[in-house]
Amino acid sequence: MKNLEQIIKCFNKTEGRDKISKMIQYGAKFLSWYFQKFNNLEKAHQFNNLFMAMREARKIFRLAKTLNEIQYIFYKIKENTENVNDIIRVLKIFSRIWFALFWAFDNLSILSQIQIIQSNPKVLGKIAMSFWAVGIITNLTETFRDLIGNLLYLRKVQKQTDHKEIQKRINVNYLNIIKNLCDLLLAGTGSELFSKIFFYQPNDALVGFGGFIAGIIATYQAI
Amino acid sequence: MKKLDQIVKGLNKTEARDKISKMIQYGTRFLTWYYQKLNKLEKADQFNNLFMAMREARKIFRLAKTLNEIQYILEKIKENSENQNDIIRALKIFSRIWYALFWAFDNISILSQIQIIQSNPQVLHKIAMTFWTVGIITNLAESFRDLIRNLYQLKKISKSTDSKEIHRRININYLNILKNLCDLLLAGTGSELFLKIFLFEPNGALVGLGGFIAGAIAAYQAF
Repeated sequence: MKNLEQIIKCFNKTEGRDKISKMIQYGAKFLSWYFQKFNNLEKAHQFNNLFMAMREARKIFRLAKTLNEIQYIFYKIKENTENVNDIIRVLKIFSRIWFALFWAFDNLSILSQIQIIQSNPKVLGKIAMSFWAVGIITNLTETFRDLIGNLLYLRKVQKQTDHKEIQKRINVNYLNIIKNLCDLLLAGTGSELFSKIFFYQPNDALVGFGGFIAGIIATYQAI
Repeated sequence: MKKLDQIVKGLNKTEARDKISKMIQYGTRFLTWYYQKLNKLEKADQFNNLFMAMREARKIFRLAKTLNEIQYILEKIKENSENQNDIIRALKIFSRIWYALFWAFDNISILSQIQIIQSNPQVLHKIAMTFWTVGIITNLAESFRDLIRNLYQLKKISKSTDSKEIHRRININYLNILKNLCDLLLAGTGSELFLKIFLFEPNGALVGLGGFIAGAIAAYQAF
């Protein structure tokens, strides 16, 4: 009963349901690639349908998500900055600005795809992915900085309770780094930045796998 | 800022986001009918695209919603029923059983539509709508019974504070009855029960208006 309650609690939050859907979306992408490799085209087609259905549904359900970022940015600006590292605070704010722009262009892209607005959805989608990539890189910078700060602090600390708390923060840093690196695989592919900078385009297996791992970590953090 | 906080808090709940999407879905259904009447086919087509996109996205995002009903039913069964009206408790349980079946068939219908499972999505959709209709009728029976009981109680009580509380419960009853009647318009159309029993099929305007009002009430209750 407790497990059922936890699952439902997660499903009842937009973020929890979205991240589980992300796992299904990218899991289906991976399976579509896998069955194509084995020439099982019917199954590949089925999983591709599931991937596309999940992708469109998630895009529709994140309309107006920019509002979340605007709220967070306002809070960070008003925050009492006495005990907060200024550089990390600035990085957090910039990261959310990039994400706010990502959601905005992502919303415009789906609205133009269903022809509510007259624009090129692929161009808007690429712009959205580019902002996402920049947002992820900003996140990674902030997380690495925080991780280094925590590792240095861990050396100095004496009390067992403080040690446990810092170890917990370090584990959160590691999880966020893995999640962001996996998301960078998706954003770098979608924005074609990998193609332009490294002359390399990850295949569907890598994208599917990366998205699935990012989805699992985000779901765990959302519960 | 407080309004923004309220909006973001609401949108972060799956139920609230779903009900706002329901308002958009049925609002655009109404507008599709409206622009078709005015022979503005391009605009009608745009709004129809949005209607269909919202409908599919909401179906995808309510996968596994049966779990919510199972949790509610288990809690109601285990509940201490000393101070509870047995008939209302039984009606609540039955209503959630019908809704559990509605979500289950609705989920299977969308999975067969995107060809994950091999079945006829239209037939499954009709079965889902039929269970929804029965669930709504059970809800209405429970709401009417509760309303009558509250109206009788209102006549007897003398204290002003008790009167306020009962008025609040009566307002909730009226809102629920209106919401369920509007939903009945949708379910009765989708299951074709109106056509079979009353030889009448509500048009796009009625369905759109009914769905919009039901969505607005549910969104207000979810926020």
